[in-house]
Amino acid sequence: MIQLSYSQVNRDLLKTMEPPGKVYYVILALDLAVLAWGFYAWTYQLRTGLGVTGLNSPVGWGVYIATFVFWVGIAHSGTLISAILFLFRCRWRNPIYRTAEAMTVFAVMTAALYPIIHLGRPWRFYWLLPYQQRGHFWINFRSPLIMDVFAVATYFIVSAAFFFTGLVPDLAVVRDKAVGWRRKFYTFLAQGWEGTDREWRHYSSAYLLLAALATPLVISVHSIVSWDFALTIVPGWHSTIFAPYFVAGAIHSGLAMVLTILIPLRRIFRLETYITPAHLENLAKLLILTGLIMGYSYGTEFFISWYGGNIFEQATFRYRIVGDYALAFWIMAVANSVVPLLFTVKKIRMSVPWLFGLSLVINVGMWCERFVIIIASLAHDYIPFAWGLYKPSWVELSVLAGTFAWFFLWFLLFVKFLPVVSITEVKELVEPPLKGGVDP
Amino acid sequence: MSQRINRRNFLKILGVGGAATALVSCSAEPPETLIPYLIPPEEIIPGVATWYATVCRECPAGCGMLVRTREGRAVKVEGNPSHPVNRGRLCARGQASLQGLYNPDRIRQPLLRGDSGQFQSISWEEAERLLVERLADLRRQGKAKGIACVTPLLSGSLDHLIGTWLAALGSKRRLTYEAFAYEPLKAANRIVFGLDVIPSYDIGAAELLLSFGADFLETWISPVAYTSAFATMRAYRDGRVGTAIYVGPRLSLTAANTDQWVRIKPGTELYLVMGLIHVILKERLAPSIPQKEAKQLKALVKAYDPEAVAAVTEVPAGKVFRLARMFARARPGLAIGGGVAAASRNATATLVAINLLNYVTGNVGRTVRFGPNANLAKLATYRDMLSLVKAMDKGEVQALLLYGVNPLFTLPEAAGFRAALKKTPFVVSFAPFMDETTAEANLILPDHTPLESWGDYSPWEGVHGLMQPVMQPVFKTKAVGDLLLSVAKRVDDRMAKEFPWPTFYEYARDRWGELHRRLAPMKEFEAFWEEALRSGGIWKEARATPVRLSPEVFQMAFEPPELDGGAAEAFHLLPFPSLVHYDGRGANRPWLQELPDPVTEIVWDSWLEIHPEAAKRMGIGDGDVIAVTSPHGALELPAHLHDGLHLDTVAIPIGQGHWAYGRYAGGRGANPLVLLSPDPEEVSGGLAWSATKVSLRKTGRRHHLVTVGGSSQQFGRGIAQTISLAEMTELAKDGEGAGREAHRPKQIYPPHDHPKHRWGMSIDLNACVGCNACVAACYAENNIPVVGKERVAEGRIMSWIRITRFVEAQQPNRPDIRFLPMLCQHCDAAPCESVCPVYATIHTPEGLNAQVYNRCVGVRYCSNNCPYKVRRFNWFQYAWPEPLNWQLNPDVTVRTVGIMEKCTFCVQRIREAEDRAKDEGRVVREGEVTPACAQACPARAIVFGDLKDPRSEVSKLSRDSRRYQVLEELNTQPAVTYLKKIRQALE
Amino acid sequence: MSSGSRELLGIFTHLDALLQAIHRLRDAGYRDSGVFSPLPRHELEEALARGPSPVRLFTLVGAILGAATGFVLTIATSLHYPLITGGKPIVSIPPFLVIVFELTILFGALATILGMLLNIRLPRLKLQPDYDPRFSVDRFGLWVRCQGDQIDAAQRILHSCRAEEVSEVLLEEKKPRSKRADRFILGVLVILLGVIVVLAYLLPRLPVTSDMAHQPSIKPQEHPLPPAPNSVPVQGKERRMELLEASEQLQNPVQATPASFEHGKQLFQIYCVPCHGPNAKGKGPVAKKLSTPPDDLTKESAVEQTDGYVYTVIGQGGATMPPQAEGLSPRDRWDVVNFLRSLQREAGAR
Repeated sequence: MIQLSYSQVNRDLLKTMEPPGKVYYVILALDLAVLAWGFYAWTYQLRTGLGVTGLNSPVGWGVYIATFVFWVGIAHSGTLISAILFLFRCRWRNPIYRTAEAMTVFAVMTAALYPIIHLGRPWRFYWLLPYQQRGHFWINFRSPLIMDVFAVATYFIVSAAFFFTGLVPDLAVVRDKAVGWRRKFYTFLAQGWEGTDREWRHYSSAYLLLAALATPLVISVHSIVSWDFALTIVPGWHSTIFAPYFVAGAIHSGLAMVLTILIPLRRIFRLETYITPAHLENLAKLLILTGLIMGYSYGTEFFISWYGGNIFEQATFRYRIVGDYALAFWIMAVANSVVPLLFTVKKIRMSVPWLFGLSLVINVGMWCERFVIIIASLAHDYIPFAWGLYKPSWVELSVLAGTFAWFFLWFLLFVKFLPVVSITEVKELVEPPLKGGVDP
Repeated sequence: MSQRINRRNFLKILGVGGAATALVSCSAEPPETLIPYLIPPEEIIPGVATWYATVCRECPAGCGMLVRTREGRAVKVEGNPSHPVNRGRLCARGQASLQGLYNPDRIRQPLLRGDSGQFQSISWEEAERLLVERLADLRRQGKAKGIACVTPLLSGSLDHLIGTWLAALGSKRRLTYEAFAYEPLKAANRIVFGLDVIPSYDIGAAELLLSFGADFLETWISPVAYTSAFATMRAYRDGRVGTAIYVGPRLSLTAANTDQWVRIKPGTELYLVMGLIHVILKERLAPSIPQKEAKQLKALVKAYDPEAVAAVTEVPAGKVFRLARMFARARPGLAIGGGVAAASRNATATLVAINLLNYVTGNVGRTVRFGPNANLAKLATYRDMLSLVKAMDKGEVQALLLYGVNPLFTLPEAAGFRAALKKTPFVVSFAPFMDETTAEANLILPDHTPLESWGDYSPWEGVHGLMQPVMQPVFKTKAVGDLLLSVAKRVDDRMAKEFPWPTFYEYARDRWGELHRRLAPMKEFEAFWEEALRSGGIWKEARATPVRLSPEVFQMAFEPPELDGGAAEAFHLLPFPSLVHYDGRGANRPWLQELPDPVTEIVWDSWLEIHPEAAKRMGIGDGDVIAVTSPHGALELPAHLHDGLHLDTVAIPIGQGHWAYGRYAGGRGANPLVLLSPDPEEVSGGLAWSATKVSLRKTGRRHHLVTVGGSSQQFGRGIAQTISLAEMTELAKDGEGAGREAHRPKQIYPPHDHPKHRWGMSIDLNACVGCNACVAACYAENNIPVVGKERVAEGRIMSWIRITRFVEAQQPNRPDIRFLPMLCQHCDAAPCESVCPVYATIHTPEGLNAQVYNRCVGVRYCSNNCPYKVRRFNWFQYAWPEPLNWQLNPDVTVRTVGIMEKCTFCVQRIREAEDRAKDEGRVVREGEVTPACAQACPARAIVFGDLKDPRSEVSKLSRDSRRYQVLEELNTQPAVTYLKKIRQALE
Repeated sequence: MSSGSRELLGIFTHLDALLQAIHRLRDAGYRDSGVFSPLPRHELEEALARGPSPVRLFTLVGAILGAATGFVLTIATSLHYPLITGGKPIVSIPPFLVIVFELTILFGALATILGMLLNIRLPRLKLQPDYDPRFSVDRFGLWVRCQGDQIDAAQRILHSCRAEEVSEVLLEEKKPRSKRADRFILGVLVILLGVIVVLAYLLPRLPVTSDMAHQPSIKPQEHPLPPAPNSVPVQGKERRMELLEASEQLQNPVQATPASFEHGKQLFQIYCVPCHGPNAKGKGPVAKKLSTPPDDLTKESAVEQTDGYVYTVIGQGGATMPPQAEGLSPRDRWDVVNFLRSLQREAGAR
């Protein structure tokens, strides 16, 4: 329980929305610059064709798809924290869920870019949408990519709705404080929220239901993303463990990303009172769990490939360890399954710098995982004569940088336009003002 | 009446007017007739292909070709089934003749070298005037003797015309020159049998084929014919297959297809052959020959007992015995030799010995037949060329007329042709391309390419191929025949009287009149002529003449070959003709450049092959640029480690290293001829190709040699499978269908039916020799873009079918190199289809795996999920420089950037056949549809047909006892069945 | 004082005081009352004793609707254009279930939001007059509506529970909803809907890419080159003969077999009947339009002509007759000749 008055909470948490300083604008400018460069790189790719990437036959998918999976993964922890922990009534989630959820929405928005970027003919992207097209045929619902379209779209809509629903009461708070154009703006966003008992009644019920819906959704989305691979016959992809393994991985990377974002955030906006080391520690503990799952999954993959006696699988996994992409493999193995174990040491998981550093390492590790799974499997599949190598080109890297800038652009706007910590739900942690001794 | 005349004439005028425009304006910009085909010429229907028969002139083999034309343009060439040489098959070089025709680097009008030394284009009128004046002057001054003319091997009309024309001018300096002229072969036959000819070798009939460095699958004499003969010989028949053994210092493509490769010290083949004869005579394995001769021969080979032989050749004595016995046992056997790669200073001696070997084992008259003989024997020898060079040097040659030859590139640098050329005051070239020699000429009068010109060519006695233009000339060029005739008219009246023919066409007709009188006197000439044009020529059996040993052979002295170069040069240089570039003339065809060398898989380049151990000794790695020096010259080439090579030998492919010859050929690798010694081989006067020693030095620079293959190991994945002869006979016992229809695992889904057909293919790995003809044919038929070296390096080659080459763990001397043509397997349960989000690749009711180009959005998921990796993605927008795009097949969409493509089983041909069948109210007949690859294959390894029809060839083969499917365990149920290669164990 | 319904608003700092006030009002029989609070508190819900929210029903209906849509969409579209991929059945349920699941969630979630908005009469822009910005900070509000005469009692109760301040709300200001705001919100929704509809209309009408419309290859009728003179294609080439020459020299190479006859008949109906009529009497439908009527092919002079003559006229055309060589291969023309002969025989017989 936080020993503060409601008005204090309001005051503290609305501070984050005060007009920003120079530093903010510098960062914003940098971010926009990178975004612009990425955009240029993309247009260049559009004009010349995908040949400007490092892709080839056999490696038809590269960092674009790897990073797509990465971002979709990041998205997951947001929903986990806001929905699943909500259902479990973990009150410690209240101060951090808003940020996590914002991250989710923005991560999905970023992820959604890649499938379009990596198309051979991006100007035909809408052919992937479900409508009766020229020639009266629809889309191939047997294709995992179509499942993707549905899963990612659903995930975006639902998590965005969930996010906004959670915001409304806070927007009312902002509205009541705001003046001038901001007042109009937030009056519209707040949608006339007044906090009457009727409102709260339906609101809480809806919120609960949304959480209940979001939970299976989040599981399904990354399962489906994993089926992009599991439903093929490519050795190293064709495996039943992929769905749970990917979901765990997603949450793993997501939690790490939450840490990476929260730690600077609480520092910059002086939110230490609300986001305490205890919160970070809880996240760290979760990371230990997911880390163990990752380690287990890696182990299982190798065991099966050995035990299954399928020479193609065996070759693929041997290639992962010692082949051309061994470095990425070892980074992934260590960063995802060994590093989190460091959090078992209380000293480490209580120390903010350590947490920050390690969370970064895990992020890198998780990206490498996607890279290894996709590229290393494609580079060496069935016909040795057709084997090849893949190296990302400057275009791919630029586009990548651009999309990261895209993600942070949204985040930068978020911290200035919306309360980064849920005021209402923090109040729920505050002892309500009681007079006491009221005569019956 | 009146009405009619007006109308018809009016239209005619339009039409003819159009035709006229077409005739005069033969620029790259295609001429337009005002009203296209308003009165279509009888044989032309717009949108329907017209086929013309002609002769392939890419090499002296003279295969018959059928050319498919659309809208008056040649779009595809195929072998002429009725032609006795190639029987409907064609090699990659033949396929690429189209890119000669449409080559963007062709010379488009006459060129004159100005005072500045630069060429300037002039009118034909002026060009001819210049030529005529020059020749007339020379005649007046009585210097006509100084007019020399060099042509490639010609026969028939043009040959005769040039001969008489020169004679009429008053000159006898006439050479028919080919880089690979087989002089030793000729000489050896003269020495042994008293016949100065090149006989025909019946490889198909041989039971044991012993090749001493003759690469008959690549360039030797008549590769297409020999490839199909080889396939026949290797085919399984009642418990046995023909055996082939290759003796030579390098593992060539031919060697790779034999059962055993005898690695021998270069230049010592002679000893081995003599050793074999020695054993055969000693052990009385050759009873057939008369006592007296036997005695004489014994004396001749006395010195060559196996031990002695082993000492020289590095072939163990035991093996010499075994070979001798095996060969003697074979009924019949066949020993051949005389390949460029084995042409050292005792080449003739070696071939004499080979002749003797064939003689003592009684093969002469059976597998070696003197008649029909090859017209190659008519070629001038290399020595004759040298004397011409000398004459030029002495300034005896006033005018040099070059037609279809490129001596500056194909003669050893040290032969001094370059200097001699400088000393020649007037050099005229009739070449259609700016090759090295032409670039030095004073006057260039570009000739048509063979596909645009009249002519006739006879590679063998009794085979008279007839060439006709398959389309109007692409550029403002003039057939050399027409040119000579019109020149003759203008030199002076006497000559004009001698050559009354208005054009070469009439001339050729007259010449054929003579042939007509000889061959078909009772037929009306018109009919005879038309018949010949339709069937591509006329052939009659030539009888073989019996031969006896000539006494000359016993005067023959057999010496060890002395090599050129001292102790300093540690390595023996082995230049070998490239499969696709022949003597270099193929180098300006992009298709041929993009075809990987079947043994090394290298594209767009030239290299120095060196044995890994030798390389280790010198610290040379793959791709290190090596400076190669001989007493005669030096060059630099990247090293390629190749263990199919004799230890102290290095090999360089001939054909690259052009410094002129257009955008595709220019500046690639180096030409090994700069290293060669110019002195001819004593006896035959041929060029001693492999008589030079060289020294190597690392330059420290590196050069990226681009290969298409990933790994050539199979890692026990059973992709290219073999079966031992023993097992084979076992299986064969229970007859056809023993290849138990693929044991299908239990299926989750019910099979879908194919109402009419299910198209399928079978590929016989025992026949396939990896010659790449199918690949070239596919490029031509399906508008596949050529992407260039860099793109290939990036893994973006577009070939729909490619020869995957697997090298099994090498036992010494036992090549186990397996070639497997890999193309879309058109799986019945295709992994690529179900993953496509937009139905861009689907399964047709006829069992085709269809790719819908304009539906594809390019997610490349299908390619990822294709276990055979046969899908190709358009990473860029590829272009065809004018007029190369004239060759594009109008029936096949040219794909744009960002979409997936792959083999379609030539669906356009299937449709055509089905439409025809529909019009005639019947079903498609067996053999009516043939994809380009199957059509081209010289070994007839590819069979296409309807799997639904149990009687069709392909479904029979799909049940064959050798059947298997690649990655069958994945249950993709491919439509392509492979037949295992038959392995036989030789001790 | 005036009668009719009036409203009081009490503002509280302390939760327990508020609760007490609620209870007291209820006990005193004031039913029509409500609370403003900065955060949801169970105590309040219990005190006000409202039933469970009906939003859950929306969710249920939405989810079911979604599932149904999923099944219909996947199965119907696959059946509508059945294409085999990967040897799988047209209706392959397992992959379809994924779509079904996603749509279930999607529709469920959207329905939930909708349900919430409807139930709490959001969105709106104008706030209630009795709303006080402090309610979003730390104050609680309790309003109670009652008959004019009961108002004092209520006021007393509120005061007794230590309401910070108690004031009367002027009801005439209190409009239930603000129309203008509604219109605005509605407008936004309508526009969104409109965009979707327009897209749904446009997308299917976008052409399947024109990317490959322009081909570098030479298409039929585009820049055709005349064939090389004197060259003879494989299928042969017939020499142009003048009519006389032809009628003397040309022999009919095609036997008048039933097959030839049938084929000829077929072609005759396509190429000849329009002018010459079904029985070749020159009475075809087009005939009357022609200045010079087409010949009656059954008349003596025509019957007497040689096959070669007829053949050549078919190919090269006649007085007004256009040449048919393009449409009819030599073989076709001979078949027509054979058929025509039979017609003439019939005519002769009659």
